[in-house]
Amino acid sequence: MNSVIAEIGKKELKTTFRSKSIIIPLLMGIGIPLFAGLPVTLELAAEGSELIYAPLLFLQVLPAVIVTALVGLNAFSNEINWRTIKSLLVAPVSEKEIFIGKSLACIVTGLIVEACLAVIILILLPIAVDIPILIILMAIGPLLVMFATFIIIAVTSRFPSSAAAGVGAASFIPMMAIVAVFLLCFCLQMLLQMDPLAMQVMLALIIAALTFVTYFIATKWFNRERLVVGL
Amino acid sequence: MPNIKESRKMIEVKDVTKEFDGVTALNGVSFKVNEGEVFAYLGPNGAGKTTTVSILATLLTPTSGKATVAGYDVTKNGMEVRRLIGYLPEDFGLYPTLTVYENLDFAAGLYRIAKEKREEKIRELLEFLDLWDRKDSKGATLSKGMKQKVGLAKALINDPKILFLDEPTSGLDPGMAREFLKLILRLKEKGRTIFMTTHLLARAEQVCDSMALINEGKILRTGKISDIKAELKSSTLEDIYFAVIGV
Repeated sequence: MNSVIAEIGKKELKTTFRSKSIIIPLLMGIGIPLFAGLPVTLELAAEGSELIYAPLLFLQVLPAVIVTALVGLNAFSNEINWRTIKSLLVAPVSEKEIFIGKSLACIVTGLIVEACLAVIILILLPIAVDIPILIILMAIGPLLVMFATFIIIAVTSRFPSSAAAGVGAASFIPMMAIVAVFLLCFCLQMLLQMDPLAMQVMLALIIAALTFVTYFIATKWFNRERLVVGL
Repeated sequence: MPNIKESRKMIEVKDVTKEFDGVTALNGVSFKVNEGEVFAYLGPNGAGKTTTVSILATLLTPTSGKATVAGYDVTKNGMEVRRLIGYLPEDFGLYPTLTVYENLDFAAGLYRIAKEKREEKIRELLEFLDLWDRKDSKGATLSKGMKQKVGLAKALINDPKILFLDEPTSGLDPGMAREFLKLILRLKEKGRTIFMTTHLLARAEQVCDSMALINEGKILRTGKISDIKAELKSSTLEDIYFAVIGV
């Protein structure tokens, strides 16, 4: 990996997790969905219900996306509040490297949360793990973390002053986008009478395409001058 | 590849204009800075000093006109310019939750300085600035003067040919401002070209060779300080400042 991207990602993780103000939102972001979703998921699994995939998706994805959004929300707002943004932008680093470096910290954090949740789910789930469940854990979850990351980094770099002012609404944008994707897929499933495997494959493919498109747009959107003028 | 030695002009600004949403911040600004000079960019608040520095440091793009740094066009060759310059912003640019060492290590990483060379480089800079014993202090715990020095160390991490200092002495007490200007003199002795904006006219006079005076986005006077003094029959930079600004 490009050393500058790794440096930015490493710095981002250090500055984010040394700040005490992120601890409580992080614990709530993981804890609330976990405690709300886990009993329902286990109950449905024990009943052998076919409806298991929706709560499983919620349980696997929501905490990781919340954590990703929280880390991402701070990516540029901290730089602006600490007045470090100019020093970063004046270094011989391309706009794409800054974007990917910032995204890397969010993706790593989100994937760690996902991995922990996947282990918990696999240990506690009282049924055999089938392919749709594996697709949720191994493909849809990580893809959604990347999708959420690119959205939040793009939004906060495009509108830095609102992020710096602590407008937390920005952190809900990835969630809203993900809910919209889920609704679209569930409608398609009903319409096309798809089985769970086809549904999860379709969901994975749609999210992969959206992640790629979001990355492409976000890197085009990223602009040094806008970040400086936004100060 | 531009020939720097031949031209000896390290910074050249020609008829640069910068507008923000219809508001003109710079209006046909032109000046040049020669290699090895300490250049004072003077003017009242809101005159356009920081906008000019931001354009030269590739943070902003001019609306029209041309600016070159070490022969490179700041708009077309931004990456080359960034490799050659060091920049100390008015707010120091330090991460409060990182230590002094970590701040410099991150800056070195951005300039792709190899891991094995970083410690030596950081040690050299911190010893030069008498800060080695504070290397493990967090950015947030430093005094303003120390933050300024660490900011300068960050700006020097890549051995820049040209150093941009935006209000480097603002907010420092007189003792620290004096110490900081001594550091600038030591850097000048090492042959660096230094471009600084400042309000401290008397201090600037001690270290600067040439100057430009800007007000309301327009350059009112530029050249060697000694030449301008002779021309205006002024004995100090402060006299020049008030004579030209008209206050």
